[in-house]
Amino acid sequence: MKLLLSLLVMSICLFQAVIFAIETKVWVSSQSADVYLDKTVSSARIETLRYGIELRVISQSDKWAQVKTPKGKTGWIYRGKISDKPITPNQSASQSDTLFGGLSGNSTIQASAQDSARSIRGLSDEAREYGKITQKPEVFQNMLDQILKIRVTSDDIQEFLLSGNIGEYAQ
Amino acid sequence: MKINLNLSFFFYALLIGFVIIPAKYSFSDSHSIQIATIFDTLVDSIEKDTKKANKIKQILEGTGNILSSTMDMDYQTEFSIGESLALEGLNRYGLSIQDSELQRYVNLMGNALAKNSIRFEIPYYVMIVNSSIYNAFACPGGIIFITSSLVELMNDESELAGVIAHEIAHVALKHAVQTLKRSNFFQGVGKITAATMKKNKGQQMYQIINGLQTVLFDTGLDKQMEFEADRMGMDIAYRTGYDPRGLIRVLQALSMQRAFTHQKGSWFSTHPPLSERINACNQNSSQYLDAKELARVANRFISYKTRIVTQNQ
Repeated sequence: MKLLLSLLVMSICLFQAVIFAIETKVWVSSQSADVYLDKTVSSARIETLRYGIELRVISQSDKWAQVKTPKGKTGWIYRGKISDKPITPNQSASQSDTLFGGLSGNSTIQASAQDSARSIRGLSDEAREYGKITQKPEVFQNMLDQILKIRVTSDDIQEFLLSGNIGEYAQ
Repeated sequence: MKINLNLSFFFYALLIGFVIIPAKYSFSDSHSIQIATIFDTLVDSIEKDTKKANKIKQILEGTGNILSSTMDMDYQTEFSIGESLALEGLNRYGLSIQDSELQRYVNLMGNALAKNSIRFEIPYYVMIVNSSIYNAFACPGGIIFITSSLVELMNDESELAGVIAHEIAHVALKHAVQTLKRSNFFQGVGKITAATMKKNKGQQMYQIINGLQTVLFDTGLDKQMEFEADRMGMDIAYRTGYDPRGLIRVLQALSMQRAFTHQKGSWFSTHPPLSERINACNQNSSQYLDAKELARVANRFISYKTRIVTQNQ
């Protein structure tokens, strides 16, 4: 009886192992990643995923992976957007700040600082003060101002990658 | 998506099925209790050690004797140090090229790459400055400088992406901030904030920038930091969709120039020997099996490079 029970448990374990071997775990490793109906950005977008989300890979083809999202949706994601290494809120926390870290309070950058970072216009008071103390010509401050006023949106980046035929936008 | 993980799972399943489960059935209850007790004791011991370590840390923080390596710096402070350092960069390397389309182009590329880095939540700024010195460096907080000479040495966008991604990696890994932490500028300060900086504004800020510019413009960062930035930079470029070997091609082009060029304040003097970096990058690139199929984007890059060359004529 004991032997029979052992064999039954063993069979269940083997069955589960086969299922897991077919579906590999991956994690979203970019700021955000879109999942498409087909392996092309011109197909319908099924879902947009955040950094760190765990996915299951069903199959792979070319530079795309067919995945199952936590919501149970199935679609295709560009391979560069995922990693086979688990991404957790604390990863690299000693050296860098992840989005999760920032929002959960583990990060050294607080959410408010991140928001203000995006709204910075021109040089900070501290840098202006430094420029004054070290007698830097005004033209330096103006040039730096010009660069710091450049704003890049997600749409701009998408257009840039599309026109360059880069990454998931490559034909 | 490595298959090794699944194979190991498969192995563990076999182990559970063939060894552990049968063994458990043959074990007496006393053995199970013994194992559980050992495990609990181990967990308790680890917890006690962690609590003890936290208490010691609190005491150290309270007395202001916290080790510099554990200090934090908020983003605002990091960025204002970066801005001040950028003023020194303009002073040292020359003025930025007055071409808004060109500057927008490199900023688009920088932010496209940064989305695939581990520190994507901050904005990155890329500036091309007019200089005959081959160099690129990143100020804390994300202001990246690239000299016009270095861009002129390149042949396609994947090469420029390789250099920008290397600099993004320095910012993402906070290499300059770590270098600051190792110095004694903030001895006795638990957390570097804008308020801390205000209290010590002027002289201390001057000292910090002075120290950092020596590191970034002359002596260079720690050798291991450079290798780490090379590896992460290649990964960022690859994830974005660029041929990750672009960085290797730039390093090779630089090594060809080595004999005829001014070395002070260039990538030659501030980075580890090119041959070592090329070897390490070549080894690293072997993991990117489809690198040849990825984007290099020569045409768009050449059109912008021509604008730099025309301005310098």
